[in-house]
Amino acid sequence: MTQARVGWLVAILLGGTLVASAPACIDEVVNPAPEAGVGGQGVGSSSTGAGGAGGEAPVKRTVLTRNPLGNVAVADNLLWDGDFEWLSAFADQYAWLAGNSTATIGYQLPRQVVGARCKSGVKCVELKPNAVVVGYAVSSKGSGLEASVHVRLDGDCAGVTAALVSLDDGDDLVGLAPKEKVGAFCRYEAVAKERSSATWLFVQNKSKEKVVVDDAVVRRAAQQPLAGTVAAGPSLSVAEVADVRRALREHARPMPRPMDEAERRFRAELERRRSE
Amino acid sequence: MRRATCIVIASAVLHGGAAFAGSFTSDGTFAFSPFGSFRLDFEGEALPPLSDPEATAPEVVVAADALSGEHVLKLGAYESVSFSVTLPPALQTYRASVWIRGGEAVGIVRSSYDGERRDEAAVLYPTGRMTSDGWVELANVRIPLDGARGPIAFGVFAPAGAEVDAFELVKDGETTREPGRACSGVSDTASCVPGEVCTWGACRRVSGWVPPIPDERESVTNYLENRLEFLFGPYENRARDLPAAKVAIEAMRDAKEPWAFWNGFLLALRRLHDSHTGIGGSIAEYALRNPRPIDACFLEGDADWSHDVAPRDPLYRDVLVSHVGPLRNLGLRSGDRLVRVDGRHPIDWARSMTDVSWSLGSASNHSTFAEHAAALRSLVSRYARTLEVVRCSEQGCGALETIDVLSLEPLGPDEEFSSRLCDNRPLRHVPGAPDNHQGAEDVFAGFLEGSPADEKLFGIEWDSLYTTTGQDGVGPALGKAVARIGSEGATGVVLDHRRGTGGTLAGPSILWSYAVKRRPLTFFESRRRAEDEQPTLADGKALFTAAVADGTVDYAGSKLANPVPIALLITSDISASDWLPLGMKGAKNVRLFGPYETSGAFSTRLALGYWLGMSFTLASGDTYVEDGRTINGFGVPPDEVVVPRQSDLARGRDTVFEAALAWLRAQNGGTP
Amino acid sequence: MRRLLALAVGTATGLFGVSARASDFDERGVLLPDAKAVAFVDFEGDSFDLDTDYVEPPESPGDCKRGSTLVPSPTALSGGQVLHVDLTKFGCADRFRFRGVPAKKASYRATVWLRHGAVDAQLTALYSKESGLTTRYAKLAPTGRATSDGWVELASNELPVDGESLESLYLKVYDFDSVGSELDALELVPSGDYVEEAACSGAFDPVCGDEGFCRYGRCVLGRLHVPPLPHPDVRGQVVDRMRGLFELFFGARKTRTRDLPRALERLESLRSATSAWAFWNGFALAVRELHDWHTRSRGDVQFAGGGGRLNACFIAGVADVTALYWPRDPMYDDVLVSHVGKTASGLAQGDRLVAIDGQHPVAWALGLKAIDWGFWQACDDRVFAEAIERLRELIPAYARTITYFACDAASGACEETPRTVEVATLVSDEGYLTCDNRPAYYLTSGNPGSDHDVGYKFYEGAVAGTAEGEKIRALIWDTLYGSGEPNGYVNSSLKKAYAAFKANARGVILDHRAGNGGTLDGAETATTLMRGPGTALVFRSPIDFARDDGPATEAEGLAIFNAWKSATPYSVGSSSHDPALPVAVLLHRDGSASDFFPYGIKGASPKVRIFGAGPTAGAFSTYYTLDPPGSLAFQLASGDSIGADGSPLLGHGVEPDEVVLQRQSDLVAGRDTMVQRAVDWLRTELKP
Repeated sequence: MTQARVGWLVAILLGGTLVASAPACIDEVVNPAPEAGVGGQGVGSSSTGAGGAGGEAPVKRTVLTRNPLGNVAVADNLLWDGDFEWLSAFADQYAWLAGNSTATIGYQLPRQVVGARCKSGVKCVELKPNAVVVGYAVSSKGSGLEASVHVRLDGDCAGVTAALVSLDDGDDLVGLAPKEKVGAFCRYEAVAKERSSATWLFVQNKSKEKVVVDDAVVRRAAQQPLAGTVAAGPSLSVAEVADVRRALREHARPMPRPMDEAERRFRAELERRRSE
Repeated sequence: MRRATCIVIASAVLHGGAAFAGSFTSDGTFAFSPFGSFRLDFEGEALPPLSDPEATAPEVVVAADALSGEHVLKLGAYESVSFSVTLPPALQTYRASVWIRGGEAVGIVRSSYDGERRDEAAVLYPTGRMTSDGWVELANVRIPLDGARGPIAFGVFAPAGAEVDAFELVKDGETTREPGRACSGVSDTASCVPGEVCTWGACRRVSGWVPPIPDERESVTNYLENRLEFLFGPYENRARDLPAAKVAIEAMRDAKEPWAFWNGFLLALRRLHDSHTGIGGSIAEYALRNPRPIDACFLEGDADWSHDVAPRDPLYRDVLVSHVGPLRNLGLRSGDRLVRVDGRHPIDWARSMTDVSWSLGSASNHSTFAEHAAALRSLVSRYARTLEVVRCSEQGCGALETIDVLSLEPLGPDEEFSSRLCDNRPLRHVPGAPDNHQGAEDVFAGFLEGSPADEKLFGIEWDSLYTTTGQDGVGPALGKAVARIGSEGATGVVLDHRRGTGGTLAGPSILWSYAVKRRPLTFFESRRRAEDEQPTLADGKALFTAAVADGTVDYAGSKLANPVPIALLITSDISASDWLPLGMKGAKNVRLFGPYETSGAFSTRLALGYWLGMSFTLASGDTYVEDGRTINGFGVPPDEVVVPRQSDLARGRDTVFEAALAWLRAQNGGTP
Repeated sequence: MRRLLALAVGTATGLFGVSARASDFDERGVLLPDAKAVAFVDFEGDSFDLDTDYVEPPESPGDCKRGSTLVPSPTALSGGQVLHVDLTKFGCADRFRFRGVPAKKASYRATVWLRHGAVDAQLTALYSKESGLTTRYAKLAPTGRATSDGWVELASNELPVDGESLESLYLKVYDFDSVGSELDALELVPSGDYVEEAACSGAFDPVCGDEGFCRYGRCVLGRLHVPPLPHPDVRGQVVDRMRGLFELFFGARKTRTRDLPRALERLESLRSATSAWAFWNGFALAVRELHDWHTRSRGDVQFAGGGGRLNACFIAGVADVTALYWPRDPMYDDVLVSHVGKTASGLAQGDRLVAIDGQHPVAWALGLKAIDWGFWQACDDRVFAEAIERLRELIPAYARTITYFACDAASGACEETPRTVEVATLVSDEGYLTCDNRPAYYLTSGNPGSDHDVGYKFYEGAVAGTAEGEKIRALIWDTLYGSGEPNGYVNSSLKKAYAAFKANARGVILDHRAGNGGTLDGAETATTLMRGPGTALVFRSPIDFARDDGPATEAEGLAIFNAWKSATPYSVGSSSHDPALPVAVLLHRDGSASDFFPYGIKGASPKVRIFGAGPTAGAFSTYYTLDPPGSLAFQLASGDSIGADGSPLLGHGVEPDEVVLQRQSDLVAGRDTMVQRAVDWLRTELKP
């Protein structure tokens, strides 16, 4: 079942709870007019609480309900953590590399966002202009790949570049094409033919504003494509691709990010308590 | 449709419904539950006392978009706040919730059995409720609390900083189950109920450490199972251990309470039997202090003085006391033997704790148990009832003796305690090495104590190989220590790395460059495809050859390698600390001494965490050597197998170190 | 003029006012059939034909002779004729079809009125083989309605019926007494929703919902196997009555103080039960919460969904061969295959069962308590031998997968990684294999058969592998049912064996590893070989005073012992015992009289040594059975035994002098660890 369909089903059912007046199902009543720009189309429902007469008074805030574990409906996601729900402040080597540009990609953690700005679940990441995240996925033997990622941005979907990268020259660099913008989110998609090495989902903000990245999926393609889709949007320069591949190669080896003093002290105390 | 319906219903369970939790009016204004026993939104009323009176007062700021009222609490990075909350004097269960904004934070409720110590912890996780202006609800449910047992602590910790509002505690059920029922170790089959684990002599409610069973149980279980199936890298461990891990996943499908569900996944990770794969720290573990810590360290050895009292086990090595602190040591001393724990061999017993202990790790190989021996002092104080020991002196050993673990007096409320580090070193041999064996991030170096000055035998004792550039971590200190070998004219070196905690390849490179001639060593490959299993030798060899050609192979050594004889001491060595002996082994001037092979953790790992309550690491690939083998799961064996002897420990001698010393002396024409 | 008596909770066995009513009575006491009834049979005229409405037994057509007759009766409930059912002389049940069942999917309740005697009645829906549907039935039980002239109403819960595929829908009736019973006013009324018979996997498969569970791959609809939900007017009284039974009569010191509160909590929850299954399964669960070896609930539901067991027996042990591949459980012993019969689905002696549906086998078996009416556990909280012995029947009924390490007898090695197999692929046994906790037999001749059916028999002989001059002999037996006859079969068999041992043996093994209990005199006789006379304990069962929690202190216990040691002693030993003869007693799963026996010899002499995997069951009492009409029964233990030291014994099994667990390496090699160890010890103690 696709992400969008799950969201649709839940929304319908929440509406249904009104008609069926089954308060046991949820403690909030659906607001027929969710506030714009908060991703009401994400997994979950939007509402404004127990009053039931949404839309009459000026709405102070909208309340949403989502699966806090994110998009687990795609159980066969080949990305380590496509929804960023397992992004932790204590990860010294997280499954997404990050950088302020392609030249500075490393294990430093991407800027985390929590809450309704995300597309699905509770966590997602923010990219400043030119910033990059690169997510680690395994490929699939005997199967092509379908990839998608959602980005919240104010402007045109062309302001973000997304591509499948790998360390093997034999694997194509495949761009993810932007689809129509739904609500605040652009969805980028690609289909790639079978790949022989690990696949990395590259996302770079080439716009002038901050963007939010969430709900990325790499999964086996339903059928073996003859070729990957063509890269779209601002393409990657040869130098940028070289930067990315260098970073991926370096960080295949152990390369934990440096910790600041507060984190180091916390970890040392935790370790001491566990070992006592 | 049925599954989606379930999403809504189960969400309602976690949300609790209006009766159990704050809700929102039609314009989105937050309203506390009318039935709450505690609420705090920083409006007007005086703040409740802090649970730590010495903590600095929290910063309350005005915020037009506060969730409730016009004020919120502001936490900076790595700041926390914990309020002391008095509840009605009756045992009942509560839903605890708090709203956060701006960054990941974790809520935690701590309670006490006797009003003094913090005995129970419940961690608050996101419920899925959030608002368009950035607020996220954290909660947990069915937390048993009894106001008659003293105030509870209700707090939030924010590693990246956050805004906090609307703390709330609402009764959500009745219970007759008294907290802290006495039990006699984790093997006690009569006292604790599902969701509890007998820890430190009481049935602790561990189901509060984890989130409720998720709405989409089947999807979540399949998703998590696929993380292991698709992503876990080491081939030998995939073949030997992944089937066992999947059995633990299977138990999640009809788990009846939260601990059984989530511990199913975390147990699956532990069953992968890999040093890089395991459970990271939980805020719940941070919140609870061991009331009965034991300051004694154990290691595997040869109880040559007491096999008449208790014969050697056919499967496991003997377990001996390596070193102890002055207090809380159960009267044990170096050389004493731990024969049985709750009737089982200590290693057999420790391995069985894999089911309940989040912190227990294992070697990546399948034949050594140094990690279990080192963990015994912690496991015993948590989960054991009785120990059977043989006490020894310089003259010999006595009869079998039984110790009741619960007879150890608990720490007083203000009693300070600091333990030895269990580092597999019965004795330290270089100047400045601390008596408490601490200093895991430090490097201690100098001419060996107890060796005549004219021998000029140098020693380096250290654990970590973490440095990213050579200029951070242990890089500068290790570089300086190596430089002293030459500059101070050492004739031989003991590299004591018996607790090698790993780091990066830049760490061992500092020693390789000094000690051995340059050669291509290994090629590490991150997992490529979800279906990949053990490659053939031919395929592995081809990969290695290609890596040499394209410069992606890792080299060990330098052109200017130094011929001074080097004895490398190993016992429990992981990751970069596996690579270190791998790169040294085979060089003419180097000899490895230890009881058995290193861990065999020839990979790296990625770290994932869920709201600071559950986190884990998973090995992400495997390492090839020149002949095409993959070596994760196979440690580096010592050149000379030396097992710590009871007769040596009891007489204050360090068997492994002395064997190395004898070899160095022989290399220099001296008498061993 | 007939009077309808009010609903009442009759006896301890309970009469259960059903929520929904069918037929009614007018003010003169004339029965008025339910207007919604699709069938009403009052055994008059056209409503019924004894010949054409009779249904042959589907499993054995032609084998049975109809035992029912139509007889005139001026006090018939409806009309002037009743069906007289008198079957005991024929040994078969009678079946009578309902006519005109609509050809659609629906659900029905059957009611019938009974006078005199007692019957077992059930509503059965029989389907053609081609339909692929399995026969489903619902038992009838008293509703609580009765008339002044002796008629009692029986009713079933709602039975889903697929009228399109139906071969026949009939009432199956069997009467228990010698005079026969009368039936009248048989009625079939649409009631409840049709529930498809769904396929499922694993006991708690959600597809079966809250009103059932999964057994043998099919959802069992719980309501079909329990009486109707008591009417709201009497539901509370039924709970009060059960509560009274538990509080007044049940248990001993340990079970009353530790386990009874949990059971009472469970009973209280029944007041708000909203379905027959929730109520009666909740009651059966409350019985199981009492945690007593003698205390059981039984019901027709135990046999729902077919049958079949694995043709392999399991036993607690130490998996020394596979310990490095899979750590032991922190709570439970390893579980090994003790012995197998034919078609054991690939399992072999010495294999190690590590998980069922992902859990340790014992944890999994204990987790079935909520729905397993055959649940059986020791009184001693540390003992799980009963659960392990039952695994071979529980796995095919309730499990999805099993995970085990396969071993090879030829090489003595086991595989390094476990196999996980789907239970649906396993074959249930066709032969008959008993699990007696004896991996192999070891007499030089006259051993029990390969089916391990020791049962009520005694096997005595020389021990294989010992020298003739050592004269080491053994007795293998399971029963202590002396039945109070000093010269009865069990007592005389024991005496005969003991006489032979005293005359010809230098060392003896008493192998009682499937100790099924019996009577006190059997246990007393069993102690006469190896100790002098004495009073080991006093037997205070059932309890003397309502709500007696037993002695709270040693002084109270001693007072009871001294007061009763002459009246109700457990008298052990004999002045003619053989003090020089070493006796090794082998135990594994032993309860009741098989607790008393080892207790009576424990520590009695240095020449006696008890070898066991752990304590015995600690079932130091007796029990009473309550068998209400309908489809359930239960038995409650009552009372305790007080040792000479004043300690209440129930719940505290007899500790072995030496704990011996079967070793996987021995099993793989076909050896019996415990026998080997016993022989080693006997050789150090042989009678001169």
